[in-house]
Amino acid sequence: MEMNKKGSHSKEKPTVGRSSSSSEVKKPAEKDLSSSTFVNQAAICWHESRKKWVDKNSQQQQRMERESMISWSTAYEDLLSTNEPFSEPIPLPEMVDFLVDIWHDEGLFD
Amino acid sequence: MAIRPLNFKVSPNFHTLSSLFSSPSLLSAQSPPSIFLFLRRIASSVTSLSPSHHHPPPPPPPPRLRSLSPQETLAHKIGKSIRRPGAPSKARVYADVNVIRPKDYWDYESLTVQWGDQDNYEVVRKVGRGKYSEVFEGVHCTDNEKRVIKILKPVKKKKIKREIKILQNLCGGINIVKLLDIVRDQQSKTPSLIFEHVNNIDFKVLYPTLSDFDIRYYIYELLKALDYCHSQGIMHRDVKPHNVMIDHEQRKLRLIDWGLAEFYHPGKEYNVRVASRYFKGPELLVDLQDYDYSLDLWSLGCMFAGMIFRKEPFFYGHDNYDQLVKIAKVLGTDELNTYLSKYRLELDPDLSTLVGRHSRKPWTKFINVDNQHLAVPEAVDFVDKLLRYDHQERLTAKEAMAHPYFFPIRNAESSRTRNQ
Repeated sequence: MEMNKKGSHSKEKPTVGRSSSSSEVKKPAEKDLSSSTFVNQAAICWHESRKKWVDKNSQQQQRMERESMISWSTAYEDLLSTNEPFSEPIPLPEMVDFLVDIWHDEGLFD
Repeated sequence: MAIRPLNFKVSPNFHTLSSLFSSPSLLSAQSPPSIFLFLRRIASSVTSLSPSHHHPPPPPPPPRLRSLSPQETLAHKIGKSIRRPGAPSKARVYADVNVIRPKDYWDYESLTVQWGDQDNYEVVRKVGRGKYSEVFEGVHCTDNEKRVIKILKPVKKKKIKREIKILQNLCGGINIVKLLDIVRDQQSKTPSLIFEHVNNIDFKVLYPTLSDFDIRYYIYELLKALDYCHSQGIMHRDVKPHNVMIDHEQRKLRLIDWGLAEFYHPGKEYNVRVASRYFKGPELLVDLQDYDYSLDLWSLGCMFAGMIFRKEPFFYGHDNYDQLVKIAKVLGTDELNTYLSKYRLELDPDLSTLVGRHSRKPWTKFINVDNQHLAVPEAVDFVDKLLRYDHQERLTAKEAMAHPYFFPIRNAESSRTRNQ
């Protein structure tokens, strides 16, 4: 570890020397230090809370096979012209299928 | 002499449908006015009578209903501005965040996404429609908790990765909408983003009811979100009322729709086709590409001006060129020229003609009996410090939070913490 670190530092030195004339890199030493110590806490926290969430819900009951809610002849405007609640909740995969068909017609997949 | 602007009006109500969680949405469509979109929508509803794949091709868009006005003919000829070298622009604050942080933080293209299972979610009602997505209120089947579900239309993978990476990087940030899960349809590869639910009231209903104190409070909350994302090296690039969810009962605000957000790298030239027309900063309209976080402060300024002067939208342009005209009629053309020469920009002569010559209009001219309780002197001083042509002159989010306009909010906050 130590060796590696030293090695990379000495390798970087000449580059630092060359670029010190440019105003872009003002504090090369500091930059080096912080990039090696930066820990993306936010991303770690996100992955942890999502994992917790997924684990908690992984033992969910097997989905009952249901009749599809959206009729084959339903048009976009029939279903989505208002912000009123649907008569019954619609499973997300079914809504995605419905929208994908419409997007195909609109040429969005071309 | 200025050329007179177009006289047709776009119905403001028409835009409400496209609002929630949407990206630049329909209202930023380049030139066709609302009647055209309306007809196209009717046409598309006719073609989608059944969701099968065996349709005749959609009918061609209806012909324009009127001949082009002189301004539109002119707009068609307008070319790009010229930028001469030697006057680059750089963010005044947080310029080096992504220089200092490792590549892994901002290199969203190398993000690998672990997709969850979409079977656990149901949609309950539609809440919005945008250029890039359809947005629903939904529930998680096992815990029955409300969610907001954003089903993404087919776009480049890169754009989806950018949005996810940014939402992950901003996880836990104050007043930033929380991304809870990312799921994908196996077959069509359609991604859906699952967010925390906010019991939002449409801004067109809410804003007219807000008191002077409420406006100060919510703008301060929004500034917290902006300062946070800027401090993390990220610009939102689509700040507008539609993207600010407010649960008024809980006095909770969330900045949503990070679909256009980007990492800031000093010196990088960005696409100017971002933000929604009425909230586009002058830098976008004059094609200055090395813009930065300060773009968000212009958009916030437009939103704020709309609130305190009760004039929504505050700069009501009919297209991107007219948007600059509307700004110039308030901020003046001498000031515009100072801005252009500072950054060595030269507008296309046709655009210059279109903009014409206007003197600066004092903010007090916008005060009337209906808004005088909101457009108090500190508010007017604050709007003046946000709506500046020169993006480097605008207050940063942090500076904005220190403005005297927010003294009552900061006093209330500190007395609350003292009493706890």
